Amino acid sequence: MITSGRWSPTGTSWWASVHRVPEASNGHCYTLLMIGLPFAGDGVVHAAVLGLGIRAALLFHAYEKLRRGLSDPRLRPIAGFAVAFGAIRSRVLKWDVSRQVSLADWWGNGDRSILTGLVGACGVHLGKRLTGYRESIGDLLPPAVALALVIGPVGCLLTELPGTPIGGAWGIARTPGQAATVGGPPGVGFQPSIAYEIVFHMAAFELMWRFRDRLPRPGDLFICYVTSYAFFRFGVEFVRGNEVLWLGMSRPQWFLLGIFLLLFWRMPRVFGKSLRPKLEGRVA
Amino acid sequence: MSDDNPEEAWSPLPPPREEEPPPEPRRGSILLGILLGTTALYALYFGTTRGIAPDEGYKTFLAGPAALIPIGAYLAIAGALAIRPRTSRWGAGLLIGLGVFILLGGGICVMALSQMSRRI
Repeated sequence: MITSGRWSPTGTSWWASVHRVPEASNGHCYTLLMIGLPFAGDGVVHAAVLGLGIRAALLFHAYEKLRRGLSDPRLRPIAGFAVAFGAIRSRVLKWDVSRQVSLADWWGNGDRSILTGLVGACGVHLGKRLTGYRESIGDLLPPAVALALVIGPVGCLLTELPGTPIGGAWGIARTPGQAATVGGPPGVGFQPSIAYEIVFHMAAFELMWRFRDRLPRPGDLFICYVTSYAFFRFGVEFVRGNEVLWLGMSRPQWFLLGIFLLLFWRMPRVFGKSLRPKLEGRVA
Repeated sequence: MSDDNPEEAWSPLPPPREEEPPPEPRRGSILLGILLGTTALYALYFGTTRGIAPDEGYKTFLAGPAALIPIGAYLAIAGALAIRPRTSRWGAGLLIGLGVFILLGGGICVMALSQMSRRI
């Protein structure tokens, strides 16, 4: 559909471009807004931005500990277990055996999933059990995770296939050269599904920043965050472009259907009670 | 008759307290643990940290299930260090380093393996 010649076969133009394109059928012109994929397939850019996200999360976690007056040294290893096992889950549960790559390749280069990394906090539970820490830290981690997921996916947005084809006059597009690298047809607008996720996590971070000391019980913040993300992700999967597994739904959606049962059981405990009054100063 | 000493009761000095044991010296650094752990894992699985670029390819002597043995050993050592109070900073740093290695991985989230499986 792009006829202006901006997307040359070896071109790397990636900035937003607005085209007036004539409609062949009726002769009218319509506006075509395409945003290119600036660093298609560039692992260094992807890792650098993701690394910034992880760094921001660790710094915010340290700040939250200070703000809450939490000085227990056992929180350090618990954070370590949370990061390590979250990452392991994000890799292991994303393993697609149908691809038939070696175990080493899969471990070194395999896919990672935010969803599987986030759902279930086995690393935190293991860390707490091993260190003997009893208090809930479910209010400590979610804002840091959301901050990481605001910054980190920018790397994905700049480098990866974004989502499903829109079929309209806007979206993220690739040059023919980029399409040869990351796949898919060139010059076609794709859903910026990763941008939707970034916006979601920005909103979640803002809400958690505002209400993080006011939920009825310790740990409720984590339940609210995971539940809202699960619902959001279930919806956004329809434009994400992941492989459809069964009944028009992707693997993450089927995974989420199982998780919903657990979340429906947990959510009433949060909304069954009113919010705590806003506290000034430090909170324990 | 009371045994209290009135002078002691009005003494401006605070009552003597039991000596608290000095805190254990902090050993290690979280940041150093992250750097060392991540670098070691990249060196093991990609030859060098340049392996973060997907076109550098995969360079390791590990094959088959043996690829997971170093990760298991690393996790066990890092976990053991993390739960010991004297070395918890090191351990936490190494655990975070493992997470960083996995999340940053080789290349982008969903492309590398797709390309590999197309080549197979």
